[in-house]
Amino acid sequence: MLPAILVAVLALLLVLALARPLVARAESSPAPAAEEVSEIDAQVAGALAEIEEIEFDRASGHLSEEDFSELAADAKKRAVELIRRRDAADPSASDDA
Amino acid sequence: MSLIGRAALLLALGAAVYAIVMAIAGLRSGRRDWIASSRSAVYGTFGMTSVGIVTLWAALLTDRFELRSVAEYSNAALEPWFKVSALWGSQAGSLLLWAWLLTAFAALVVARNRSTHRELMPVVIITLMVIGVFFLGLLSFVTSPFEVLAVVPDDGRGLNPLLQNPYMVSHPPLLYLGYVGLAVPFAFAMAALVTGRLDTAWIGAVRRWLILAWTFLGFGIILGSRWAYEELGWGGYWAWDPVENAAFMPWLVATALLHSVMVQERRGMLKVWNMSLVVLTFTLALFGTFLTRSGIIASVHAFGESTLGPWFLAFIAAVIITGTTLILMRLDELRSVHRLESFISREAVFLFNNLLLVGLAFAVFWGTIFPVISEAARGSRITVGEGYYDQIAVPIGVALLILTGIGPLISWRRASGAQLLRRFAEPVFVALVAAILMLLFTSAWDNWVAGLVFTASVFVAMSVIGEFLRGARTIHALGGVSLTGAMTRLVARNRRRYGGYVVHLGVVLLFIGFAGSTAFTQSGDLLLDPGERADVGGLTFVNEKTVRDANDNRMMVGAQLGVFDGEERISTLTPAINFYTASQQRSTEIAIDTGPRRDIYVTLVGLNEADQVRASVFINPLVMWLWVAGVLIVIGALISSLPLPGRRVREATVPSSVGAGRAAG
Repeated sequence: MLPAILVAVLALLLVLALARPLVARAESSPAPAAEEVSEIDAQVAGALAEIEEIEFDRASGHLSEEDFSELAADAKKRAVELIRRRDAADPSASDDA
Repeated sequence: MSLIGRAALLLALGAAVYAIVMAIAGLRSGRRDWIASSRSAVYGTFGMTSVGIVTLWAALLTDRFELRSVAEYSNAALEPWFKVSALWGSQAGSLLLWAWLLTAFAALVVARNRSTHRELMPVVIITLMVIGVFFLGLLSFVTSPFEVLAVVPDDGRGLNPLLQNPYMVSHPPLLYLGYVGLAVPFAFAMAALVTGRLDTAWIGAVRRWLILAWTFLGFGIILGSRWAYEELGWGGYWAWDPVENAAFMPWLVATALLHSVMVQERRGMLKVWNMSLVVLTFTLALFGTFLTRSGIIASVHAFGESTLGPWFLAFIAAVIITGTTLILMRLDELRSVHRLESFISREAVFLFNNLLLVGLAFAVFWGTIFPVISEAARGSRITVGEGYYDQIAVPIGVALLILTGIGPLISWRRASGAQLLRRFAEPVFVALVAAILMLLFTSAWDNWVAGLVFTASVFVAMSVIGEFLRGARTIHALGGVSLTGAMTRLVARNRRRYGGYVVHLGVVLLFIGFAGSTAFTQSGDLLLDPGERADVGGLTFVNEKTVRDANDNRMMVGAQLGVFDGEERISTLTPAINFYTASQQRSTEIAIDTGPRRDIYVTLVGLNEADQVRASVFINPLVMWLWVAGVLIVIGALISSLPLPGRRVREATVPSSVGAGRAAG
């Protein structure tokens, strides 16, 4: 008897967990725009890290000036595109900075 | 207990199916609440699978012999931690572990990406839950860990004595963490292909998962080798056994992938290749599980005949077909941004490294499945011997080791002659001096492959150490910090690169261990009456006394052997044989004296009533460095996977020179 009750409780808990987001539609997760901004922020962080790495490679002699210019230009272009996308999604970011 | 376990797994299966349905519906309709419900279902799947695995552990610990998984793999007198590990001794239990880890990883992925990768996540959920449905379906309808026996025995048959070893408590879960972890990169790759988000965002999302899965798999393989070394008694640690190969193949391809994604991130190249490697890595992870579970190939690690083979083959085929179709559909969008400009460039080194790693994986695959193919084609099973593998693995391994040293020294895009001379002069010079010194003062070059490996190891170590010093000097020059502070800052600011270099130092130690232990092992057999002595490998072994011991689980009989170098006692070893009462099986307990120069390894073959000892002795040089290498590789991989400190991204703005706003932050 006890195992059957336990199984019923488990099933009930599962159904409640699955139904909760459907019932409470205004869930506490960030709005789509905020999610997009935070996602682009993560990509901007990656792009800035890449620029730093390229600069470090030049400083430690791993890249010639010519290669550095080309690789850094590529990476900066990507970063600029991302920052523009971020600013378009959240104009307050460019005002705050 | 059976009812709770079965019901929990069925509920987990239902939740996984629900997650798939809601994620598809949410993706089509854009309904965020449906996607949120699919996320809850992933947590629910994990919760229910957890109830299932906890129930089985409880059954094992409380000796519920009405369950087949308990009665056939445990017994009342078994030590508690072996009762815990008996869960993965059975086929159904090990599949339950697979499913539980998968659902745990899926829940972690969902929790960590609650507000990121919005477009990718529904497909990631679908992919992970489809895999979950496969395993939970097997557990619910094909091989249940909660199967009840018609006749309940008084005691269980006990765990296979070979598995009653501390390394067997940790080795299988680590391997499974690796196998299952590879499902996450696969799921993100599938999501990128389905959604068309083929930039490097998906790589950023899975990099840490890939490193962790690779680390778990690698560490699992090393612990498995250690288990084989300490438990099987033939003096070695790797025998190209099919189940060893099963774990080694995805590890090789994952190693290739770890390197080639860097080329995509830096140069926008190898996109199709990387996608293919992700699919191949996960396929091989499934194939590894299939090899262990299907009983298709005999192995000391395998679990005998089972009915799972066709199911696994069908699922593997589905994974390959889906992955390949999606890659082909996105072929145009996966074109490289840049072309390979020179064969003397870092991307070319990564490409060669990839070709060698994948080539080796293919050779291992071929050798592993050859017995099955030969049986199908000719009716007789032809097993491929160690010679086949060594013939291929040794040259590829040496080439990979050398590339490990070349990679860090060479520039992206192309390297000039002057640059090469400047970079290579020091490590090559030191390696040559080391080679000459080894030739003059040691026996390292008695085996030319070993001599080459030792020399290449010096080259790689110098190359890596040189990178650390060069980087630290650059930071020291730029930032005015001390050289020690610069070294710390160097690793902290680029954990991925310098953690990777620590892994490379571990690889050097690994190769030194391989070369020493395979090229210079000495062995011999002993037949000693009480008090008698005999020599093997320049050491003297004396039969000093017989040792006996017993507990509820087993009886032990062993021989105490004194080991002397000349007249000096250097060790006392007690190899033994255990007799397990429940399973009526015996296992040898190896005695090993480990040291940085060599291991003295003794297996007791027999001990008669007159206390006459028969034993096999192996003197294995440099084996200890394999285990040290394992630890160093894990440390390096963990450094690589640590997240970077928070960056002030919000201050980054578009510079005025490119048309908008203020200077870049």
